[in-house]
Amino acid sequence: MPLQAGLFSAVSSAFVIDTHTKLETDPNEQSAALLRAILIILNQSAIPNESPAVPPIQEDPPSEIVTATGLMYASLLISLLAAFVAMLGKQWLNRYLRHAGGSMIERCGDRQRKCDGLQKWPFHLFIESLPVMLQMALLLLACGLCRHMWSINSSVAYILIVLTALGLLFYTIIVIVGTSSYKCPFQTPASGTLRSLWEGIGHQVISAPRSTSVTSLHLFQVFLSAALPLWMVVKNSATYTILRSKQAIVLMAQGLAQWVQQSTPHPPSPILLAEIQEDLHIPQEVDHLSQGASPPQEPTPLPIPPLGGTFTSTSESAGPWLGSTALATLEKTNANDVRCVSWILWNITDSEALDAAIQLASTIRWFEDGLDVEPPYNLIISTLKSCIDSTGEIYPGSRNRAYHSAQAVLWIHICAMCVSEEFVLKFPLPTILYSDRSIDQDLRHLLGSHSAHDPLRIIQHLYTIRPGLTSVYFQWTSNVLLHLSWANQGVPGMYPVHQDGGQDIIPFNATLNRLLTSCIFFGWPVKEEVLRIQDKT
Amino acid sequence: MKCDDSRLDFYAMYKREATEYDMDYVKKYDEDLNTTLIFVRRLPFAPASYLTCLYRRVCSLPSVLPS
Repeated sequence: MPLQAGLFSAVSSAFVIDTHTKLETDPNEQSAALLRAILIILNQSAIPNESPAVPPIQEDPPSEIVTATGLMYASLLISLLAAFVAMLGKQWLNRYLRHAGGSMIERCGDRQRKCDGLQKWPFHLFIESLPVMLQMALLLLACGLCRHMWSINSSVAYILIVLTALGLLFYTIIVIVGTSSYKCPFQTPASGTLRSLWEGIGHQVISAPRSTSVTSLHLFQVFLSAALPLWMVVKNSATYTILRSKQAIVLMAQGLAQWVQQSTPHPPSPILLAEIQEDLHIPQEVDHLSQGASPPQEPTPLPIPPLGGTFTSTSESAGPWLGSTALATLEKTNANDVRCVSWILWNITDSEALDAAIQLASTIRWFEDGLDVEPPYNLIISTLKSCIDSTGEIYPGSRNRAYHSAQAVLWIHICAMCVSEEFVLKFPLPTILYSDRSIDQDLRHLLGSHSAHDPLRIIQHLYTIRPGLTSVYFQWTSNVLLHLSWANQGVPGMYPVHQDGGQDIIPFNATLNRLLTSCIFFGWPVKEEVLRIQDKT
Repeated sequence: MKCDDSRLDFYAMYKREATEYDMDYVKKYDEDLNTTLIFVRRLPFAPASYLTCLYRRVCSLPSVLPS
């Protein structure tokens, strides 16, 4: 079809030239008339009865010629500009397909960055502007033809004007119809732009009263009124519970003694330690440990990460494992994971890819890269709900998807808890009705966490050790608690709420996570890059 | 280790899906661009031919004639 259109334009232009030469006086005739006049003047005897007729002298070209020439040149340049942009577009697409070297994961990250760039920068606008440019070129060509033909032959000009007007009318109707309905097949770039503008104006009109009712001051007041008591409840409850498990704490403290002595300790919260020591009657050596080897100084508590989820550790004490370069690499890797998982969730419908993305979504750190987490969160919730029927039974073959979806939902909610109270409200846990008969202990325990909307109850639920829970579950929850502890500085490492069996199946990595959680709880330094590694064995 | 395995699995899936998605994406836009290029290759022929005529007329006006 485009090829036919191109050929048609070529053929029509040939006809135009041919018609033009017939309708218009040939300029060579003027030269011939001048030569004839010269001949008559020089040799009047050659043509005795004829007087020399000099053609009128014209200083400037006629205005219709100037107008028509301008319109034609504009049409020509716009079409050439369209060709230029089209050529650039092909180069951009080639660059998009050309990936940098490196491992598969690095290449995937590179590809995702380019894909995000395509969305961020309006690449599609350039491509969609090309037909508009060609339409403009066509319109200018038609106008130029009409103008020029009007000066030559008004009858032919009428035909051109009528056809041009009909074409314009047709295009206007198409734009209006396409703007009015998305289902209309006669869509053009102009109708798409007009419809999005129209919807944007309508949305602003609808949402304007709502936005004025919720002010930032109101949100700040809600945050203050909710976050401060919540923080106190979490901390006091943690203190109370850890006092209950006296023996475990003493063993933990003794086990940590050697490690603490080798590092520069940040003294734990003096009030909390005083309470613990008073209640537990911890011997002098533990008290000495709490004060650190250095002379008495003003306690410098570990800095609480700023709200917003950026975990910037300022701990100077050296851990032996990783450095700042490794931390930057981990941050970059995490950012790639977040982008790639979000992209898969948003764009792909393949069930295997969705399962893999949801499984990874329960381990990566959200909210660090400024990406909008709401769409993937809602998609994971809908995936979780789609695994369970109306009677609460899991659909056959959907157990793993439901389990990983429940993990991801809870994980994102906890990440939101670490950011701010406002984010907790923005990412609420869904209410899932499930039947105890059809699901295993791990999944039941996870879905039970969903019904605990209070952060403290969620933490207690995650700490619960019940028979039937697998090591995979303990591994994941220990990482969650470690993350929560690092962000909030208030979650104890040992928190046996319902310890009625099953301790022996806690994997070593989960124990290490809980050990690190205890270190953070006591205010001892833990390097952030260590926390980011999932498997710490 | 399990996490790394799941991560590798995910990126294997991602690569497969992304390649398929990119091929469709590039193919769609490439067709649009080819359409434009074909049309542009032919469209300037009309104004260019016509301009040739007009240019000849502008240049051939007897402005060089003695007054």
